[in-house]
Amino acid sequence: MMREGSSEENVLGDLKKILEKDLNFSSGKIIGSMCTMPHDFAKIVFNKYIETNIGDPGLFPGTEKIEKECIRILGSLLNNVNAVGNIVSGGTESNILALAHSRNLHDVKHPEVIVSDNIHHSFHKAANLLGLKLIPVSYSEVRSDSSAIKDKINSNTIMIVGTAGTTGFATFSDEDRLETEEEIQIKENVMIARPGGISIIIGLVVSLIAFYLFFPIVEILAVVVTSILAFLVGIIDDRRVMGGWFKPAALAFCAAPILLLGAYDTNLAFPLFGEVKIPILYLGLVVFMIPVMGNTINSIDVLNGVASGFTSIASFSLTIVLFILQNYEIGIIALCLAFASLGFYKYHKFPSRIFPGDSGALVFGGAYGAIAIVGQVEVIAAIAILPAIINSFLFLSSVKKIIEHREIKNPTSHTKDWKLQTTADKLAPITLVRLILAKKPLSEKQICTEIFKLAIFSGILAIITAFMMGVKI
Amino acid sequence: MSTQIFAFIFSMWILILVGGGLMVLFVGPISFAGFGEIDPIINSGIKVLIALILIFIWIFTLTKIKNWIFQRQTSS
Repeated sequence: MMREGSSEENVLGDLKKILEKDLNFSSGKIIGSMCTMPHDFAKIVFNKYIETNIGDPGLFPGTEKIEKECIRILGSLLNNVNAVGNIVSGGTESNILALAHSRNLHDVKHPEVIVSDNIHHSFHKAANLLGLKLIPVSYSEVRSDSSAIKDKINSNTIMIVGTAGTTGFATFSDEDRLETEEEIQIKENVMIARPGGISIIIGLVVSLIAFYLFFPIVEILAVVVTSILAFLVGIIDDRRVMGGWFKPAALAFCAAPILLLGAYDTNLAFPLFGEVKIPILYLGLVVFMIPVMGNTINSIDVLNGVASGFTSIASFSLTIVLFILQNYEIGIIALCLAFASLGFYKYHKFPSRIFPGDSGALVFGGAYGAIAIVGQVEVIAAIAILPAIINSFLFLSSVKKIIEHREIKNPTSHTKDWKLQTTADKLAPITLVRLILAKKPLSEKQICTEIFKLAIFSGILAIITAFMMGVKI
Repeated sequence: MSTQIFAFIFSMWILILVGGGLMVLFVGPISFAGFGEIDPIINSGIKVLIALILIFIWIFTLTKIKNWIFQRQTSS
């Protein structure tokens, strides 16, 4: 440490001496750089506001406002007016931040990033820092055909990086050729089959028919035909936007096979108190049960994996209940639904590679309702799906009418780090997810876990109720 | 919040058990005779009416419980 400081003249002299080895833009010797001589007006602005700090929005809210406006403008240029982000001082830092956000957002065990082989060196640094695997694609291939990228996309892919221009050779990815993942899916139908309800109905029907070959009971046929009809209702709703009353009304007709095949008993069993015989009233209950179950499961199909995971837990609970009640054949039918939904869950869980659509969700609900009726466990089946019933109840009590989900305001919004938070919009409906988020924002995966915990709790209550069926007070 | 939702599910379960008891003890045994062949229809009609009243009371009670458990969240 020098006891006395150096004069300004000396400092400037030293700097001139050291930096005379540098090139400058006015020399005309720099031919390949992303930077240029700063604009004269930019110099004035920079000098005038040099003390501001974008990293401290509490002291500099005006600077933060400019940052947000810049992000909005840049986002709108890239067709995303809702873009979020930060302005940082260098490309390396910005690339590291973008990759870190993408990694945290996707929550994948072995994350991969598809990059062209002319990518900026900062991506190699970032990948090393963040534990990411870079999947290089030949730059020339990308320029001519986007299938080179498509071939590399898998469930570990968290980002596809395009280059707007490289410094050394001024090479760039043709942005028109860089399709979004969604566009690739729409064109090629390679990643997400939407709706994927067909796979659920095939899985369920095939397993039930195989079971029918060994145990030819009419209850199996009733569940099969009801599920197929529910699937057809869902397919119509997937392909055409139908009114809010379409699904309940159409699903009511799906109960017809149960009535026509006589696969029901008019006694409604309750725990602790025994049965009540309601011959005509029960027919109404059958017609009522399928739409209620279908729409209840459909209404909880709000996040990746929830509908299939929830149905799987509820069906396993129902299987245990039916085994406790020594109704083994129907228990195996419930087991078929449990495994069909579990198999689907493998691909539906976050991050989803397939969505059930209305066709899938209504198959879940229709089959579940039909099993409840033919197994004479209507009340217990309702207990096993109480979280979904609560969701419908909260929704209806806040909206106060039956409407199509596309008509409602979103009850949640995203935080900057892409977690979900409850919306401030007072007109948005209250839902189960909104209540789960009331305390703090959560990631999609965390919300699913919370819903599954509630489903397991309800399943335990259903099993306890099954034991109470044999007890009379 | 999760604890409150668990509590709400538990309340619903209790309400279902109580509602079931009411159905079996009071609605089930109801029987009217003297109208000839339409006896079953009249009996079912009355049972439907009572069941609807019970459902209304059930939903009303559930709404009160919901408001009590989720007061702050549901008023936002």
